[in-house]
Amino acid sequence: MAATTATSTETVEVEPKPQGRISGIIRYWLGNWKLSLGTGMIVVLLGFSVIGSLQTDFKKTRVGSSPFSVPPSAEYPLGTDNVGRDMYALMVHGIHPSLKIGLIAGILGTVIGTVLGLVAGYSGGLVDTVISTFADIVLTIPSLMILVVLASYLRSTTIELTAIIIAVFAWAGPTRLIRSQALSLRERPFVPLAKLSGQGDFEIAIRQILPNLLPYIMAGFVGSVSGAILASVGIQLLGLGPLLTPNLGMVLNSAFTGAALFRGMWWWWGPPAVALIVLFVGLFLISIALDEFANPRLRGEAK
Amino acid sequence: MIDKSQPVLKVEDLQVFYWSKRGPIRAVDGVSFTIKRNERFGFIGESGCGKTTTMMAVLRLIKPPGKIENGRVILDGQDVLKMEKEELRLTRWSKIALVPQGAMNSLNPIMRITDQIEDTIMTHDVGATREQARARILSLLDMVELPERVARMYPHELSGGMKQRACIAMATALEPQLIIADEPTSALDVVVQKAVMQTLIGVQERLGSSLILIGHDMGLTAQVLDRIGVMYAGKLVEVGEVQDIYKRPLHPYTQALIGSLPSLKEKKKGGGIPGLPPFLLNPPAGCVFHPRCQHAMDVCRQKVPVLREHRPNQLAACHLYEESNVPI
Amino acid sequence: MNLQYLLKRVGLFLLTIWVASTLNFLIPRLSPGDPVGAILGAMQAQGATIANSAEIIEAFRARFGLDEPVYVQYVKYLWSLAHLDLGYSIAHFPSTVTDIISNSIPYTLGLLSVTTVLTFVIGIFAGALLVWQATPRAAKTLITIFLMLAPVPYYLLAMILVFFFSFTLGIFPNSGITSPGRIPGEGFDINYFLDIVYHSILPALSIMIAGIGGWVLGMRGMMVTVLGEDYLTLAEAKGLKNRRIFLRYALRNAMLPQFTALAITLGYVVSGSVIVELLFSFPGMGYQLFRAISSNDFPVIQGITFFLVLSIATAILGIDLIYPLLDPRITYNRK
Ligand SMILES: Nc1ncnc2c1ncn2[C@@H]1O[C@H](COP(=O)(O)OP(=O)(O)O)[C@@H](O)[C@H]1O
Ligand code: SF4
Ligand SMILES: [Mg+2]
Repeated sequence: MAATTATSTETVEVEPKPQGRISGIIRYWLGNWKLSLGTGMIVVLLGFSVIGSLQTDFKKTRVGSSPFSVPPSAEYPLGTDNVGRDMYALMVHGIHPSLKIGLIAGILGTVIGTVLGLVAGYSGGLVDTVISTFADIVLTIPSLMILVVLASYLRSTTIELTAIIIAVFAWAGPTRLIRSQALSLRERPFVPLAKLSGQGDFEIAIRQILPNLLPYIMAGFVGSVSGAILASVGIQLLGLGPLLTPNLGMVLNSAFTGAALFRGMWWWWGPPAVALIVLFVGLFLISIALDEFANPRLRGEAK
Repeated sequence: MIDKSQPVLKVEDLQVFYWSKRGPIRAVDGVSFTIKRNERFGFIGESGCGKTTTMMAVLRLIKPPGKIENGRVILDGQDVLKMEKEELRLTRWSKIALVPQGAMNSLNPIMRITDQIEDTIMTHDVGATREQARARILSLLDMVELPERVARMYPHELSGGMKQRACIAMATALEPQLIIADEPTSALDVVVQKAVMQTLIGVQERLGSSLILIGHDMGLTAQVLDRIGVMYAGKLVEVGEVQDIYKRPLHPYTQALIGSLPSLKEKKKGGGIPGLPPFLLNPPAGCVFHPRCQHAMDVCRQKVPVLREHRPNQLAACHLYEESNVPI
Repeated sequence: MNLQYLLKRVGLFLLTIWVASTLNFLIPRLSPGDPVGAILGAMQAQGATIANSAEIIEAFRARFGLDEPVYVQYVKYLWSLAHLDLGYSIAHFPSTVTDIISNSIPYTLGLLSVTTVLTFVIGIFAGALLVWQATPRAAKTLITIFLMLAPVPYYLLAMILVFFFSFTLGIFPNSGITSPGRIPGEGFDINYFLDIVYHSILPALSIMIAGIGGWVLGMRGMMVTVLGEDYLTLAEAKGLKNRRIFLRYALRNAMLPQFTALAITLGYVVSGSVIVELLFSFPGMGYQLFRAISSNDFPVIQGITFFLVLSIATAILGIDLIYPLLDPRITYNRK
């Protein structure tokens, strides 16, 4: 191009560097209020649970370990439920298992989703059609419905098993997200450039495309974590899933079946509700911040 | 009614900045010009020199982070920058219309062509019924050599050239006194470019309106123009009649632009102008062109040259011609 | 609308139904033990005294056809599904699953269709207004509050609403669909209907308040993009009124992708409202599902889940078929 049409303000597309990306993400993380606040909320919640559970006897989560239905007091900071479980003990021992469900399902779903999405988006053709059609179908069928059927046959499951069952349906969202991004990245100039320099398809997918997908993968991961926790609490409210080990869904379910709301026992349904709201809002803040990171046009709107 | 004695547009000392974190980008910095009735005026300059921004400021369409910092825009005797909202709304398109730079994306993708022209006619309350408006749209399409069926079509069903013609038809819907066409052909291929340009000129002649034509090089557009203004780095550096600008350009930048025209006889590309236009965040002191100018003198690095008439009807902003530094 | 698009959509619809029903077929057979045994075992474990157990066992043996090869079972199963024959309820034998579903459909359908449409419409407008420059500050603040509620699950919001409006203030009932002992009068009883509406307000509000934020978020993103488009600048240059630019040029374009999003989020909406129904003892399918789970009524559990999937798939097909009418560009290549 002749110099007459070059502009000093035009940005020249440079091959993005993975290292630069990661340090960029960290810097962005600290400087962005949504990310800091969201992460902060999760960290505080997790810290409360982990530190609290180290200092609180697990036995206090057992039925009959305390008097029934007493409101918060010095001895029982969050009161007790109708079968004599210490609410504080239930909370500190129950928050991290709920997060565990989210993490296991989220990691499984994201890994599977990323691989499938990359394969579909990068290879195209029949492979793409099959994968994306299947993802569409799984997205259409609400996972809660299948989980209900599954869990009704497999009563009294564990935290881990529940997480794995949920993961079976957690891959479809990330697959779609990663696929569409991989599709558009494939058209970007650095891919043919890498091809010219003799890199193979696999190498390009791993070294060129994957690093650029990082914000999307993280956003997909956060979405899967929160979706998995939501699903687990949902099936527990329906009376299924891991109702024996303490976790947020189980506490909420017992508060619900025990009519905590109508007996005025706010300390019973309140704490799990607040913990879940903190959890979901925290994850939500992180995920929209990641969206904005990947999609700069969204920045700076409507605080 | 139209007062033919005064110019259709008079812009004085226009200044438009885009406010970035690091300070103002001086996209348009003290531009003044006048467009006469019936005249075809061309703005030329490298892309990024502020042509589109100038025109958007004339329409008062600068959006944040951009801001009109200073200046007057007298359209048909009234200052556009001082108008009330409703007055401004009614002035737009009825007195001044635009064939936008991105004509490809300037049509609403989910509205039929006829509806997009019709709402423009109806909103200006020219006393037309819907039927009259539709009939008028068909004759407009005919005028830009588009078949009648285009009225019922959606933008994505049209080729680039057809979209551009539809935009021209739209611009003429209210018979404005001034049409601004911002690089109306730059996205088209050469054959279509010529045809669209002829249509535009034909329509302008028929309406008897004035036309501002913007281009980023000296190519195609030149033959059809009456006068030319050359822009560089947010400033108007030379204004004059087409023949004068071509045959005896004053400003070194204009000379370089003309020198960089591809010459048909020699069958080779012009050399281009060495160097890049300045970054408008902190443009060079004095004459903005001095880092690239072969004739730069000490005074050029300190004093901003003023746009002044150095030959009859030919203005330039260059120290070379001040106090007869150099013989003309 | 072209034929290929139509075939694709209908194909996806059928595939979805097929996958869902196949899962429903497989899950009981993959679980340990034979399905009838599992069902009866569960009944016994509950300590239920089963009056006509012989009859039930007979009915289930016949239904599952366990003595036949699996593929025959499968074909028979699909055949009966195609006739909407979902078998018998265990807890309410000899009621059929279809009976139970058809009694609860009107409530769920009524609640869901009204809330989903309202949520969508309000969310779309609110999201567009949030980005629109001329929107008053107060309105933007209100919309932002809804945006913050986006991640809160329906059921938590339902609990909070019940706590304030029912338990504390006593303005709204906390459960059921009519006041106790109320019976409909002859023909269309307007007061009876209003009673139903009154009982539906809190469940509906829970679904809507928690749902609006999601649309606001999606719309906000799309609106920012559309406002940067050249056709918006030209609309302003044309001297159109603000209102028209907002509605016909900005909002109409920005809302198109939200329709695709609506199709995708329907499952989430249905799941969430199922639990809301249960919290309010609202006698729709969610509540029936909960009762079936509590009484180990496997055929009803499967029947309801299958029916919900069928409804969602149908709604999505509907959206997909309407979409080309809204967006003339569609010859459809899904991104
Ligand atoms: N929205 C914007 N934000 C910041 N800078 C802008 C914006 N639009 C234009 N500019 C800057 O203003 C200058 C003039 O741009 P423009 O008027 O589009 O030039 P031209 O039409 O001559 O190509 C350029 O340097 C460009 O970088
Ligand atoms: S003023 Fe000086 S630097 Fe600028 S164009 Fe004239 S001679 Fe060149
Ligand atoms: Mg331009």
